[in-house]
Amino acid sequence: MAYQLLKFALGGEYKEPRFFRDCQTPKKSYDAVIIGGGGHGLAAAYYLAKDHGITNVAVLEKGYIGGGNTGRNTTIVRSNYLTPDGVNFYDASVKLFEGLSTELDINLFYSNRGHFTLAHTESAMRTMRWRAEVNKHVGVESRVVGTDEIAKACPQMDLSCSGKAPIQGALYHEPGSIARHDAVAWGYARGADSMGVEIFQNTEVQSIDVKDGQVQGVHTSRGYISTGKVLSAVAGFTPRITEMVDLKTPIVIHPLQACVSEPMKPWLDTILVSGSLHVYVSQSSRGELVMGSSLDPYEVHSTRSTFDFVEGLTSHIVDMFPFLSNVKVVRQWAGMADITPDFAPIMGKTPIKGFYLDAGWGTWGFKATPISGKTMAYTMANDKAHDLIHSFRLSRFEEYELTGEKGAASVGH
Amino acid sequence: MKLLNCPMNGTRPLSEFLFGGEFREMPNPDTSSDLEWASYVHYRDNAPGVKKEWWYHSPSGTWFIAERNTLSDEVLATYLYGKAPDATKTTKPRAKKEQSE
Amino acid sequence: MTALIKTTPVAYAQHEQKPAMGVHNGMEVALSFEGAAVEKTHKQVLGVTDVSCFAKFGIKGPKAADWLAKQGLKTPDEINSWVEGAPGTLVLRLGGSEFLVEDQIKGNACNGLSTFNQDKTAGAYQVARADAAFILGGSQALNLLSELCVMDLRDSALASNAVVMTQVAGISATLLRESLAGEQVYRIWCDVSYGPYMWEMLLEIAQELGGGAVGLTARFQ
Ligand SMILES: Cc1cc2nc3c(=O)[nH]c(=O)nc-3n(C[C@H](O)[C@H](O)[C@H](O)COP(=O)(O)OP(=O)(O)OC[C@H]3O[C@@H](n4cnc5c(N)ncnc54)[C@H](O)[C@@H]3O)c2cc1C
Repeated sequence: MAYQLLKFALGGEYKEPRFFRDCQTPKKSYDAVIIGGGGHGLAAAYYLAKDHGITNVAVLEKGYIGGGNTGRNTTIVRSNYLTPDGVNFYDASVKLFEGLSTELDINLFYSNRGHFTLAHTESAMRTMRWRAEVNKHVGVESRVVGTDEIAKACPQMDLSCSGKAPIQGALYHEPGSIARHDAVAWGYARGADSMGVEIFQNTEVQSIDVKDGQVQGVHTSRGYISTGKVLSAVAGFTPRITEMVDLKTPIVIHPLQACVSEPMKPWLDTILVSGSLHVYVSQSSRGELVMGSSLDPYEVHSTRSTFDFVEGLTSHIVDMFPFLSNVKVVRQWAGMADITPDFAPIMGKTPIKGFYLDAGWGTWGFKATPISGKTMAYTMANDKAHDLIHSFRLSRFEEYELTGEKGAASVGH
Repeated sequence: MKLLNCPMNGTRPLSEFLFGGEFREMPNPDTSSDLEWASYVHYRDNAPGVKKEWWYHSPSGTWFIAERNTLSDEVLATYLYGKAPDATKTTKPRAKKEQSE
Repeated sequence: MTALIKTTPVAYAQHEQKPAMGVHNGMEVALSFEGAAVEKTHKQVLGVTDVSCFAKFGIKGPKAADWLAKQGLKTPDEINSWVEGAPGTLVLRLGGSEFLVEDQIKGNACNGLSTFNQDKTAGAYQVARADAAFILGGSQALNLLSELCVMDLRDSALASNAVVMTQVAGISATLLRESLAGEQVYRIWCDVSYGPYMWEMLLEIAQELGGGAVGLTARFQ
């Protein structure tokens, strides 16, 4: 190791190998086109090639890969949701994540921390008990814990939250983890590329050609591409794509903001979420505190960030950790979250043949990257929704069969 | 601080308001089909552009309409329901297809 | 049947100050806190008084103003303004067609209004009111309000008959200024469930600025 490093240092040429080919000119046609080079689009491409042998695939990304919500999220991976369908789905994702660094041969810094959802009121405790029972029922490790266990895991926290909202207990979810988000996109990109998938950056889809209810192809900033299968995996841009095919959905775009503190020595092992104080926090492998809150309160299709957000967030963080009052916030940003009325995603087939939707990922989609890629690849390859995503179908709204996840997803992402 | 003009109470900080979602015409519940009703409840024209929206001034309990560009977050007009100023046409100008970042 | 004595919604937040309580208008409220001398100085610098006990009557609808007029009350012509509708009684016009009537220490109009009969009155609807209500006065009052409210409440910006519905200390409140025995004071109303919170916020800043709690007795001496 030391010798190799020395040789590399003295070698004079430090050229890093590219992760994937620098594709510039698309072919005339592909078996499938994926719009959006975020984690979801790239994972779908990877599993199309790996699980189904479909490699004549183009991923079209209008910016750079991972530059959307994939590179903006606060990287929490967990499966302690509220509905059995949600818990099963996210649990399958957590299991894929656990082996993903090895599979993609890239260090995702996947770090298992344990995840506390703090309850400050009796009614919040009731929701925690409910979630714990649903989780246990389907075999996911979650349990309600008292303040003693919280104090042991995080002795730095003021359990009274400056007297404003004393903590009564928490839902503890042992598998809760964090990871390096952009590496997930890069790992899937390299894997897909090595099997033949072509990834085009700086390539925007401008319209979609549909004839007799069947997708024919896409017009892009690099010309027309004909294809019978298009996957839209564009998160906060979904309404702009569905508009191209005249598809109405319940998705509304709200900005979601986050920020990080200056780096500190490691002191916070766990991931903490407080619904009442509208904050969550973890410490990254770089030592920064990664902090976020609930959605911005109204629809905006923009990634602007606001002072109101940092002001509200930091005052609550200081309620929990008074000693942080002198710590600086060094970066703040926003992503466009594609929110659904039931806080569950919209996945699968649509009324337009060959147009597949992977959307409604709102504030909760990073953790689902592997499983959504896998199930969407299955759905595209077989033109049939994968069993795990049946309850996330678009038609559930007109069938009044919503999947109520709000209680588990509105603050804790 | 972002400001919004309440037609009854004047210009106020945004924190005094709640967003009530896009304004949509309600179909007749007695005659509409299940699908029409479901579409009214759930489906919306959610692409960015100038939208008519419900807003609520919470200290006074005033519901009103705002015409707002959801891409640039500019408010073009606010008025009480049914009291649209003449100048405001009901056609929706499409937002330019430019990137928001 | 014995008359029911209510307790001011703010009582819970006042326990520590150990006020002398007494009944006004069927509600137990703080009459005095630290004695006449201290409260007199607080009143001059910055005094906060709980007047949740004042009788209130709420009504709204297109015919609400007509109905109030028939009961012999003056109503404000402009939206979001107030008048003295009868001797010692404030009538606030909240927006277009909603009114809040509140008897002050010597007013006595609300009693008569309680005869309101919904079945016989088209176009007017009674609104149940149970606000927590406060008087804020003294030379530092504006300084306190500038910490809790974003509105410009200086005399030049706040008309003497204006009613402002805004946020105070982050919660919805109704606010106006009036003259009480020659002294300019501010009136604040908020939802009853926020009463203790509002009291704590007002008092905390009042104390920082050299003022404090003023009981009902000292306020109207
Ligand atoms: C601040 C924040 C915190 C979050 N925290 C968490 C968390 O802790 N845990 C969690 O699980 N989830 C979290 N999320 C949600 C998560 O980030 C997203 O749900 C997820 O990353 C979506 O991934 P994606 O691949 O579908 O979309 P994206 O990564 O947004 O990728 C979509 C891509 O499509 C491209 N695109 C758009 N339009 C076009 C077009 N016309 N042509 C070509 N390309 C186009 C975009 O440039 C973009 O790169 C958070 C989100 C935000 C904003």
